[in-house]
Amino acid sequence: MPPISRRSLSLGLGAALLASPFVDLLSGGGRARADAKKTARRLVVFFTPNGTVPSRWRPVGGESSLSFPAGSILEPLTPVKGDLIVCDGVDFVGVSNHEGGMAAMLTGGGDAGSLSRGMSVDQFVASKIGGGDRFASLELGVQTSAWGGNVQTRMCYSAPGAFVPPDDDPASVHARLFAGLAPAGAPADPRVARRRRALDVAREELAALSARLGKEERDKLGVHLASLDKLDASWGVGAAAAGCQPAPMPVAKPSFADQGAQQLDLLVAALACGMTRVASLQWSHTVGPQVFDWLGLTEGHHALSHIDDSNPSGVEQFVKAERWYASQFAGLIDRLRAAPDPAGGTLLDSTLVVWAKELGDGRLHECKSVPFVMAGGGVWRTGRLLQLNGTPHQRLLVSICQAMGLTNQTFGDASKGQGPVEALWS
Amino acid sequence: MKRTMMMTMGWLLAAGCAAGGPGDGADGESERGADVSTPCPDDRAFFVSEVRAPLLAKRCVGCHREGGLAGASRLVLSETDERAGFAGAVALARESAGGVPALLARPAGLHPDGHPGGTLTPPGTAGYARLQAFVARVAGGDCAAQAGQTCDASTPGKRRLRRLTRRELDRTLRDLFALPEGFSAGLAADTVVAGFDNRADVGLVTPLVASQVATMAEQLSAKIVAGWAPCAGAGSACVDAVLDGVGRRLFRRPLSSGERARYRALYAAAEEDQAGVGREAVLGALLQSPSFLYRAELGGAAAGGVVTLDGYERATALSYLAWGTTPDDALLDAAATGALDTPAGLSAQLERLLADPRASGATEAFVSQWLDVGRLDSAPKDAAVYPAFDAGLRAAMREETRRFVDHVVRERHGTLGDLLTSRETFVGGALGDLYGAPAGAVQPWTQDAVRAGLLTQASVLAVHGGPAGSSPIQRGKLVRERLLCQPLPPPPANVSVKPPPVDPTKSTRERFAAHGAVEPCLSCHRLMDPIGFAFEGFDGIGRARATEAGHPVDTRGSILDAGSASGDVTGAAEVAARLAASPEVRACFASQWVRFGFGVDEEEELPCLTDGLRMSFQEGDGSVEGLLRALVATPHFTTRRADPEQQPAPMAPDAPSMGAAGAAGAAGAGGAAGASGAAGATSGDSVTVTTTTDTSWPGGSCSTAKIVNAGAAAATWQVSLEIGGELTDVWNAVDLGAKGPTRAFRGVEWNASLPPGGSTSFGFCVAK
Repeated sequence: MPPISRRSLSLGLGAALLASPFVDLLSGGGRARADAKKTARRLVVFFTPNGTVPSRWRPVGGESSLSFPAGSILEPLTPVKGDLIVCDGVDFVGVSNHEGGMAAMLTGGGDAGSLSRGMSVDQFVASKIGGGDRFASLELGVQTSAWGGNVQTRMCYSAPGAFVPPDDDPASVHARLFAGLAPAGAPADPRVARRRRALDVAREELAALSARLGKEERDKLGVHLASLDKLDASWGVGAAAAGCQPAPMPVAKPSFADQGAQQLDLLVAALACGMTRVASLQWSHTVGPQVFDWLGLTEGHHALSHIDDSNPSGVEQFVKAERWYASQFAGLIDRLRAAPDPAGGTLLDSTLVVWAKELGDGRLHECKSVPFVMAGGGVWRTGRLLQLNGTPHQRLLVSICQAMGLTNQTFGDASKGQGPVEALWS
Repeated sequence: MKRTMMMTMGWLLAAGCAAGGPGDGADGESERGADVSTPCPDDRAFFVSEVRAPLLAKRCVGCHREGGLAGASRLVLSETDERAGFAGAVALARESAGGVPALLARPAGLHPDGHPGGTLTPPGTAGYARLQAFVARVAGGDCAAQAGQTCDASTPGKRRLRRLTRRELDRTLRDLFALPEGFSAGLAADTVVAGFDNRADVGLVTPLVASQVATMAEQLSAKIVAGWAPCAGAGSACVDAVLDGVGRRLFRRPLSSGERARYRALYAAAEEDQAGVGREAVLGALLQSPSFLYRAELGGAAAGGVVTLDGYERATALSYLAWGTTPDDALLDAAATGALDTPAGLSAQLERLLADPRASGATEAFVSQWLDVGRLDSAPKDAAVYPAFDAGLRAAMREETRRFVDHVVRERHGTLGDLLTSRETFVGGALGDLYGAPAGAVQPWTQDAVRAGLLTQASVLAVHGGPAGSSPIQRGKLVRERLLCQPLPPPPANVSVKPPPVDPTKSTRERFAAHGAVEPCLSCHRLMDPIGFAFEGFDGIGRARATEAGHPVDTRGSILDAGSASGDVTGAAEVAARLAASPEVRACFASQWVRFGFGVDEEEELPCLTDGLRMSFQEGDGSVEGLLRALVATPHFTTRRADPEQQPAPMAPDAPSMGAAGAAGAAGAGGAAGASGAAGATSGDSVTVTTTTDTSWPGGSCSTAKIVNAGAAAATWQVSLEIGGELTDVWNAVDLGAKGPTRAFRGVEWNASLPPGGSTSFGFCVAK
């Protein structure tokens, strides 16, 4: 997508008869940066649950002398620290606890009246830039669904209260991405025409059924119809992009760690093959109970997250689990760096990666100083530690949108915070 | 006139309170519940019957009481004194928080400072409407304000499409095509609301579901048709045979002529593409059809505001309620003959279904969600502590619960009390070792004295146990929330709790007792932990124990604040006996069957019907089958409210704000009344508009328009903008349509009129 220029912005704007609407746009308010047109082409959201222990998470050093103390949670990121921006001091204003944090994390508390219409930031970005892709967005998960879909187990929203569930099954993800994908130049899969016929029948029946319904149930079928259109679009590209290497078919494995590794491989393969530009990977969910037995831990992750400082060996077990998550994040960065971007450079150069959490200090159930680590993308100078001192996370979400080339000044609940985090562009 | 005066009075009272500060003088006293002056003579009675009983006593008193988490807030209720909290509620109704009365804003999640107990009554809910009516009375002087329709248990709910849940889809296809169990395990998990996976309004076909259903349909149709005999006849006969046979079963009704034509055309197109694949294409499309994926509860033509569900809709509702799966041929035949159109005919089919072994499908589905047994396979356990907890043991645990429930409900026609206390169960395989029962094939077995009923089965104890030990909290929480229907608030945030260090030499009970002894934990943990202590005779996977790491176990506990179930108990069997005798537990069970059986929020959509069923189940013999019969006998089972005539709904996309607008509207109305002499019907020179593009992309943009009234009088505004594209969305304003090159907008109820110096904004999106 070409970067949005000042020109297309002003052309896109209607003139008002009663007042001049231009003033606000081209002066301070709008981020139509003539000097900063660089945008990231892809967005990846990486989530791990149950907050952190701030004293064991916090890096040391100044803005450009970032380092991770020995034994700290982020230490496994040391080899890639030059690719990171670690954000300390991001608050979810007016939000607390597991559910509240999970719901607000990517939506900024937006509702139907917000500019972002209650969408999560990945879905919002996908709705703007993903239209031409095989998948407007891809949501992958690792054991997110044993409790069903609810506010604790879902982070992506297409509208207020409307979850976009992740696909927890690597084999299912593989089938969606690669089944029937012909090599470049080969004729399209004949099954696609058959699938479309079935879809057309379903569309006609949805239309007939809709005519019998009141608004609420019609909206339900509207969601269904939109899903069929997305499915249809995912069949639109019959052949793999040049240079696309299909990931190997995942073998079913019971372990959390193995499933996570498979999903990481698939996520990066989907990006490398140009199938999507917006993806997310959700590890477990808030209150996630997984026991990290491969690390020798015996209590569930959520129980460990609430261990108080007076129990140092218990805290140490939680830190061990968190360091494992950090190494998975490093693994994502390594995979993106190893994959070439067809437009030049590596995928990491053009992919903004955001590691999000839903709580700050998990022991306190609070959403203050929620740890955010960002990587790649090529928009912001990396290798930095930013002290954001209570910045509302809505501004971070605005920044993510703007890094992706959008121009919105608010995201989610605009009363909590507006405009981007300028320090990211410094 | 009266309304305006009362508004003024309310404002003065609020201002006086703010000036005096909390705890000052008479207002401080009135907040403690002595006396408070309100406009309407029946405000206090309204509070007791329309606000406290249906809402505050159910959802708020857990925290808002003396010693509760919100005991220091201004709303302090009492479980026994129904007058308590009135003065506090009045004060909060008269206090503005971001333009919305605080009493509404806090529990609706609209207050700038949030609500530690979470969002309980968002705009649009019945609870919000109750609070709104109270505010209109005590702050607005509107003595006619009502909380909604008066209670009428004969009022059915809305017309619905209910998407088959993953579980229903799995059972339906297994029954129709003799498929192996669990083939649908890879399908996206359903959204779970209030414990159950079948809430109709959130059962959506998301992109992931659509993709998975398409893949499943393609694979399944190929596999199934491969087993069919070749069709020798003409093409139309081949497709008709599919539609009349499996098509009727999948749609749970005969196909209409229009549908038949559609599938014949599909058959012809597929055959033209490749001879011999027509039937597979037809089956694949049937499996993706909305008529298969959604259970219709829509009814026919409206009469007297009500529609009647047809025989096939009734057959489907009956089958999924009583069996958890699709109707059989006999039930569809009964629908075809009109046998389900009478209460007697419906009842006869229900009895047939209840007696059939398939009835265990529905009770299993209910219990697995009611008590979370469905989470058994994902219950995290430390393999070093519980090496026995493998797939074989879990299967035996599940089988015990399934057989036990089926035995109590269907074979013995038993009661809720039997489910909670009966010791006659079924044990086999690895579970024999855990229970000290014979291993081998599943066989009847009488539990020993420490166990009684469902709550002491290993499946329930393991799901509600820790990874490496028991969990008094989880077990107490299960009883509190699922048996007593008293949802607990989330733990308080931003409170630094420093419980004593964990001492590995102490028993679980001793450690938890320490943790439950400190505020603010105590106010909620007293409702859970003392119940859970009675279950300390079982370890984390439900094995009975007399000692824990050298400590003798102590199973003394107590049930607090639970009505007639309250009291001291020793051991889980005594907990079960107390719960079995409790009318509160019976009422709770009935509520959950309404929720599960109808796929609704029973308090929102069917409050009167639910109240009636709770009462009749409390007063009756407690039979579980009787409860199912009562559900089928309700008006909701056979009828629905007709949809209101569809009107152009300019604010349709903005439901939450509509509710908030309604609240703010009260204040706005007062302002407008004061300024009505100005009568600014449309904006003049004094109103300006500034437009900012918030976001844009190649296909369109969204903008915010800010309206400022710079004049000296109030004004009702209308603006025209050149929006540069096709309007796709507008919020906080009403689109008045195109006027020449421009488009006109006016405000919605709450922002239509601006006071001098006032401003508002609205948003819109355009496509190019």
